[in-house]
Amino acid sequence: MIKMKNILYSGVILMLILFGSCKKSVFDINTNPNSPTEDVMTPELLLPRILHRTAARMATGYGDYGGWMGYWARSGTYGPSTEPESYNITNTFQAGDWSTWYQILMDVNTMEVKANEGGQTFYEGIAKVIKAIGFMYLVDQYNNVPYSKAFDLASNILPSYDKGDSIYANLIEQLNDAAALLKEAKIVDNPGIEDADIVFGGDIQKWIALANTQCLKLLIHESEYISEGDAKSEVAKIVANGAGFLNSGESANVQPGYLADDGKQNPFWNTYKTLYTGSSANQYWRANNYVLDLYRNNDDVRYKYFFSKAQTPVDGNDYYGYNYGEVVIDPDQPKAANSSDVSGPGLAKSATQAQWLFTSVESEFLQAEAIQRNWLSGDAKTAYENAVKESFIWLGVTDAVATAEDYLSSGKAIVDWTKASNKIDLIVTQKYLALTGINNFEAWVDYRRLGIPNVPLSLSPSRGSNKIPLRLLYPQNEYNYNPANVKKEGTIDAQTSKIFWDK
Amino acid sequence: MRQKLLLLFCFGAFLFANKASAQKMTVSGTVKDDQGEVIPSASVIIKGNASNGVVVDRKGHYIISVEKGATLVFSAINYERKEVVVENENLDVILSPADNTALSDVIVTGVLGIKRQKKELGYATATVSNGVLNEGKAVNIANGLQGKVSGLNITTINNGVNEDVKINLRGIRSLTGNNNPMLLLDGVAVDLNYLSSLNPNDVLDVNVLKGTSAAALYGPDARNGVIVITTKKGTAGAGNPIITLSNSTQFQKISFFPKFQTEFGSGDYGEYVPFENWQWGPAYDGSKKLIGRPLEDGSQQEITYSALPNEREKFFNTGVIVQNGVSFLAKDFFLSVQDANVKGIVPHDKNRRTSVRMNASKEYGRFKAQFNTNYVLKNYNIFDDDAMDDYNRANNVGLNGGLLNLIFNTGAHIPLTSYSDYKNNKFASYDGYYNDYGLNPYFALDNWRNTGKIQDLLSSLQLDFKAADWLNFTYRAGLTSNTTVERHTSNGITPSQYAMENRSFLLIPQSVDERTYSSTRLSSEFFGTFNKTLGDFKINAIAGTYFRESDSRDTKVSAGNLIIPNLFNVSGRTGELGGSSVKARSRLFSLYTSIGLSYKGWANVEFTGRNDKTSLLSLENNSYFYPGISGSFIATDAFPSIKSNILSFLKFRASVNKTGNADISPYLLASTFSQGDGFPYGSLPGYSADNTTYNPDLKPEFINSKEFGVEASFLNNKVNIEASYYNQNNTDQIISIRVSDATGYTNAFVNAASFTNKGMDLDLKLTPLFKIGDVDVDFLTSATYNDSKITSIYPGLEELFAGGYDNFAANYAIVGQPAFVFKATDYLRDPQGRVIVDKVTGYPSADPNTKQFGRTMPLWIVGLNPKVRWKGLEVSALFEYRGGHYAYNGIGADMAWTGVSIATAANHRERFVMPNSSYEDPNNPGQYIANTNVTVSNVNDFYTGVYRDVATNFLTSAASWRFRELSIGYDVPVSVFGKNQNVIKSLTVAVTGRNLFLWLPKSNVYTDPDFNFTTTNTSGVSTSQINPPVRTIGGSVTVQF
Repeated sequence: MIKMKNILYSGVILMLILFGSCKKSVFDINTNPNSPTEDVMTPELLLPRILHRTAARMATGYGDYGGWMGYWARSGTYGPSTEPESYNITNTFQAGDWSTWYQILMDVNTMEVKANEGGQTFYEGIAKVIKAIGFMYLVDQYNNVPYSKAFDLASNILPSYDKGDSIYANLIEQLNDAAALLKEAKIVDNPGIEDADIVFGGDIQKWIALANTQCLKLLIHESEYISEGDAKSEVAKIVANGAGFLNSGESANVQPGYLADDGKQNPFWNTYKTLYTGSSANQYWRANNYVLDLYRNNDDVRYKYFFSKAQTPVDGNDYYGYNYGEVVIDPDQPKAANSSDVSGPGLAKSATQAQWLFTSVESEFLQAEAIQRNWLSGDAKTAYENAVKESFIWLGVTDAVATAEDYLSSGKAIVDWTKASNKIDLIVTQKYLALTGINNFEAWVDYRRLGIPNVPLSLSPSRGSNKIPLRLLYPQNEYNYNPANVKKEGTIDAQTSKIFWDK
Repeated sequence: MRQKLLLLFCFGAFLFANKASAQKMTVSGTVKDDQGEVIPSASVIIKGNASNGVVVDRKGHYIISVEKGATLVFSAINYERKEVVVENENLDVILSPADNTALSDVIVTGVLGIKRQKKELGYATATVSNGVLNEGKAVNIANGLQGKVSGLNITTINNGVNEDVKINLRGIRSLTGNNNPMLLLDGVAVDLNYLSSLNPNDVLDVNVLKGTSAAALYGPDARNGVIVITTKKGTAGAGNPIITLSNSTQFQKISFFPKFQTEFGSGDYGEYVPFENWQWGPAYDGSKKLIGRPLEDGSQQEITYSALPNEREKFFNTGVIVQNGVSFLAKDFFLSVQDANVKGIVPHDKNRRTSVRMNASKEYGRFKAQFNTNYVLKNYNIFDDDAMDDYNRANNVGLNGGLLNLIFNTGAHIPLTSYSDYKNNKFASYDGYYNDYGLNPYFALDNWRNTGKIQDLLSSLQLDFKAADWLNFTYRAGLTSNTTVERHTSNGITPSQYAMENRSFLLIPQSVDERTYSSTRLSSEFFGTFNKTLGDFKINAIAGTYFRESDSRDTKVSAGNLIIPNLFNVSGRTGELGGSSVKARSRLFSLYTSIGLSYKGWANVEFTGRNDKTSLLSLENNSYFYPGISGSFIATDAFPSIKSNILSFLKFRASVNKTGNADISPYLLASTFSQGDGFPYGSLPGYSADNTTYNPDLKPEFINSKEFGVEASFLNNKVNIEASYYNQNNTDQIISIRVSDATGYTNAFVNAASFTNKGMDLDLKLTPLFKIGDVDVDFLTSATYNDSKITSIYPGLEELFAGGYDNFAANYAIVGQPAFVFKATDYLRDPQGRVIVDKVTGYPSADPNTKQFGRTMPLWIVGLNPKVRWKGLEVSALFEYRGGHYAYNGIGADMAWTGVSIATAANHRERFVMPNSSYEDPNNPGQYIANTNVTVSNVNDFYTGVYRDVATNFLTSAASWRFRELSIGYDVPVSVFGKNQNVIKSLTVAVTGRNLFLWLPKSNVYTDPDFNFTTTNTSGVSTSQINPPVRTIGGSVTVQF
């Protein structure tokens, strides 16, 4: 019996030793050894990728709008893409745009909060500018979207939607705040800003100018909605801070140090021109005959800068385009290599070029329209002509100023200031012609806002009676994962439901 | 680590070198029936010590170590049990047939490797013997188990030289987490993936614990059931060693190929285009036609414009599977070597597995030591279709993922198999292949390769100390180690200037992507077992501890642009080096106990409890306890009066238990940030928030399970029935819910979602079904019914995306519905369900909102297993049915795009009225008029457009009947080798077949509905990356010396 007890005790003691050996620290091994967590994030680490992604999204995310707006068309190498070409879009169409912007804006939000906590007003100001850009893109496509309740998963896992117009109003305020924050910013309080700011290298004045120009852009988008008085008072606030707008040669470009390497090329180049392997990056999008003819029929050389010469021309057609949505049955129709790509020498100069975020060209057209609308003081004709000239300069047209002046004075209705009965229409037409492939998105906004230009409808046999869509449908994901809120927006019809500013 | 291992090996050798203790004796002999036939299923136990039983081999031979004077109990289903006192070392036993033995004496390997009598258990188990497991000579044990155990759902989800399988026991218990049953190999918990590494011939038996009851003793992984594999341990006696040589050679052929149209060739809109991947050209007319563009030298290939028979199917090879094995079985010692060599149906795909196992044990009085070790080496070389897909996506070439897509790009008139020599045949070369929009598949197969070497080492050491007759202590240490070295390569090619300019051909970069993954899992377990009989009561108690540490590192390095042809080293590159290195470590510590009480053997109750502590949850939430109780009642023993010729055995069992677990990976308590989009650029870093957010306050999740079962035998055990009903309530699941992008994340880990999982397992064994003279016919059936219902997801959320093609055809968990159901894109329909078409064009359109369709997992699985025995000949067949669910066949859409599917030639491509359609009344918007005359304006546009966008066109019933296995085995009488020879002890030859036929409903003209694009919880979604199903036919020879 004693033996049995001994056995029992020895067993119990052995177990105790085993249990006792498990200290608390044995289980405290769950700190992530692979990726940083939020506590170690700083604005400096977030800003470069935010700027790169924003510019990349704006420059490469809207090929389909280029198609709708008569800039681009599908090459003969590809079969039809029925959904965009019939304008019969579903809620998967461009669904990636919604998620991409919210992802970028999530980082912007984190940066804004971190910068605010750390008193880094430069970073905070930049965050507000990018926020205004990102949400503008969302509102211009979806109208009401989650804004005030976004990026707060802990308390708003099902974020409610804000009205498009109130988001716009708040973004304008944010930009005013951004200008104020930037104005008081000091480089020393914002560690790493000169390297992390891959747009202006820490130039505060230029950032305020960008904030101002973005603010003007929001107001112009609202041109058919906002009252003249409100517009004027908002513009007056911008003018009051004294930093002005992005002017000639002052494009906001992102340059993290693009390289001719896998995943490191300039986004526009990498998407539409050439892959790092040397292969053609895009054989789908080619010049659209509509815009190509608007240039060629009006002695406007810019088509040679927006588009490339066909690699292997057929029948001497150095510049060859397609009609949007047209289904050509002829098997021998010119293919991608026989037609003009959309990354002409004016847009795609090299794999390492900076990526435009906001061009001086667009800024000058926005200013010209604002002057014409009497929101901003100045001479509308001069502003308009400077904008057209800026387009030629920006593209690197040979003898840009002289060529632009010839074009301006050619007397062609498409460009002549004096002959134009509606100056706004003229400004916006030329804005359209200046932004081919640079900003397909803005052209779709202007088309919906003013109906300019009168783009031909898709030739897709499946189009039926559809018109160019007025907006996007909310992504299916919202109906799945935020159903109660998205359903409050009612039934959305891309043919009839409008963005708030679309009157 | 190397030192530790060495020590273990020394220890093993030391054990083997010593002599047996003298206190025991070894008894061996055969168990036969009164006709002199062996009884292959007989078991032998030592009376009063049921846990030390053995099962006879297929020759009826047994060896057992006992103390002198002990009593052995021999029993087998359909035979009377017999008790014999041991007197000498040789003991042959003859059992008389038929009486009330039945299920009652079956021995199963219960918890912790302790053998138990099945009748004492309060939960469902099933045992598959080596013979049954290997009937079809499957290379992977999982395939060998298919259709043989009720409640077990084993799905082969693709077909290749390394078939992936998905295994669920009794449905699922986690919506987004792990539903893999636990794999317990010789008492050590190892990763379920090791099933494919094990040599099926080494397996003594497989025991399946179906419910969650075992979780109390096995730990949290056992909530999904346990597959207990016991390997052969050597004989207990000192007789002559048994050497077994075996060879199995099998051939694989495609058993089911999608239906293609044979009417139309390449082109678009009825026009002939010589270089099209579209088969929308004119009808075949037997004329001579040129294909492809003129080559640089001006030549062009001419073919006859008519459909070649089965050319696409001929592209695939006959697969060959050769398995050679040798094993050596002696006293307390087992050594085996196996080589399994698989050549697939896809040209050049191969996989070879070589494994060595040594199990040895030694007993010294009260002390016993066992050491098992298994080393497995796998080498494979397969087509890397993911890499091809990635390349095509990067170059905006759609619909080119998967080998099948390359086949779909090829017209029926194209002599596909003549293009294998793409290096010398100018019409087969990259530059010269006729197709402008599709690669020569032979070229693609060679260009993108995945080669790898996987090494597994599984070792365990077990020390037993018998402190007293009623008290035993066991220590068990286990090590599993996996090293995977894998390389993805692209040979790359630069097209000629001519091909670039005339055909817009792109450069394919030469690249290499290398991965080294290593993982180890160490476990250390100590437990004591207490067995004591007090009068009519018997007490079984277990208490123990378990500690486990898992470690892994996954390192990748890649170069996207290599410069020296045929040199695949990352140093020979331009551009930057790519790569990543991810580490994971976790620990688990548990205390557990089980106390069982038995009254006279017919009333049994068992209480269990376990406390786990894990490193995966925060220190505040990381410790949790869960209890359970189970019981069994043997009515025929309690009330012997109810026993009769009709009712031989009747048992009821029930169990109620709770299990807890933290089903998450390490480091899921805090959200992370990553670089990407090309960052870092030189000295400039760039971080962005990752898409998933984590919750530091995650708590363990719990499952409450109830199980009730009946086991009964009738007509002197000729009819055996076992049935179980279970109901599991899964609450507070740790799931990753898909959230609105506006939260800044796509997924959030939360404690949410509850669902019930319930069903029935039924087994009916008719042994024999009938008997005519020497012919025995048995009939075994198993049926599995499983259903589930989502009760909640998350406040405000009714749905959870679980996988598949989001917004097109995907698996969803929806409140009130089973897990999972399909949500898929359908046609836009009017209130009467008619397809709405455009009044002018006749085209329907896709409904922008997806609709809900049927379940994705089978409601019923039925296995039918007839067996016929006649003297030495045994024929066994296995049929399996699965039904009640749906499958989405991605190849349907891909085949429609290129116009090769049978559907695209419906009505000879004449315009047609969309069946059951209507159009909107122009005068009464919202009213619809039946469409009888508006035809779709272009068939080509219809099939390549909206038809493909509507996922329901390819959503079919997933019901299937399959002829899973056929085995015809013959034991050649050894007397043919000479009357007095005793060299060859037995010779068995067998003809085997697996997946011989697949019967599908008419609507499924695509593929095996079991095929799936992932091994995760998502089911029923197949793509063009999965090759057609195959049948396997072959033969095997096994010789014993």
